Amino acid sequence: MSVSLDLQRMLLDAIPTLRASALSLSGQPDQADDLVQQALLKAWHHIDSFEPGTNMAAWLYTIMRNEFYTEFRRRRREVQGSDSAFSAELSDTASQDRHMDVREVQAALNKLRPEQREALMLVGVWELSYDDAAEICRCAVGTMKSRVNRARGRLAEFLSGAPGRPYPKRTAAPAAAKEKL
Amino acid sequence: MNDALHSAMEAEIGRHLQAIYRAVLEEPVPDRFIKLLADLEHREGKKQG
Repeated sequence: MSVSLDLQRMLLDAIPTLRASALSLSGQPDQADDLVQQALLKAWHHIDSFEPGTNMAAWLYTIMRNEFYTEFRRRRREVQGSDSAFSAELSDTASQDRHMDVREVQAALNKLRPEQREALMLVGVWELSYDDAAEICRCAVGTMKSRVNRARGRLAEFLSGAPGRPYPKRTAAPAAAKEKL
Repeated sequence: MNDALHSAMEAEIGRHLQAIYRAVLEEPVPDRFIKLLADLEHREGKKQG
């Protein structure tokens, strides 16, 4: 597959957005960059299906989320990775101007279901409309709205330590627990 | 949790999210991706040449 210089430039320019999105999908930096790599490879070989004039980052993202959910379903029954590595790494990159709050928020983010994290990212960070976000995720607009609402609500619960919520106590605050040890 | 506290917290979450992803957005593109694209391009050149 021959890819024009223009398209190569667009692929390159989309990488930061793609990496941030991958992080939001997978919750783990190593896995996130692997996802980006898979998406770029696939995109390169299927570049003919990219419609000129449309959003390259969004096109790449749809490829990447397909890869992610295929893999995610495959690995579903395997042991889930710890979220502490991601929290620690993030606190390194973000600690210059934010403090422990970032770690807390990230730990809480990692407890959300992937589709909720994705919804928060598309609407909250990319600032897409609910319509556009729903199109990318191939779900109904109402579903997108409720994912965003649920994600925000659950994050707020995790962060406020609201009692009696349906998540396992043992994973309520892994980062904080580790620090005490 | 009351509504006012809840919405204050949601606003806070929005700001944190932006901060977390902005850190990644602002990082330069890692070498592995630049190399990946260069390798793909190189392979094409070989095939066609």
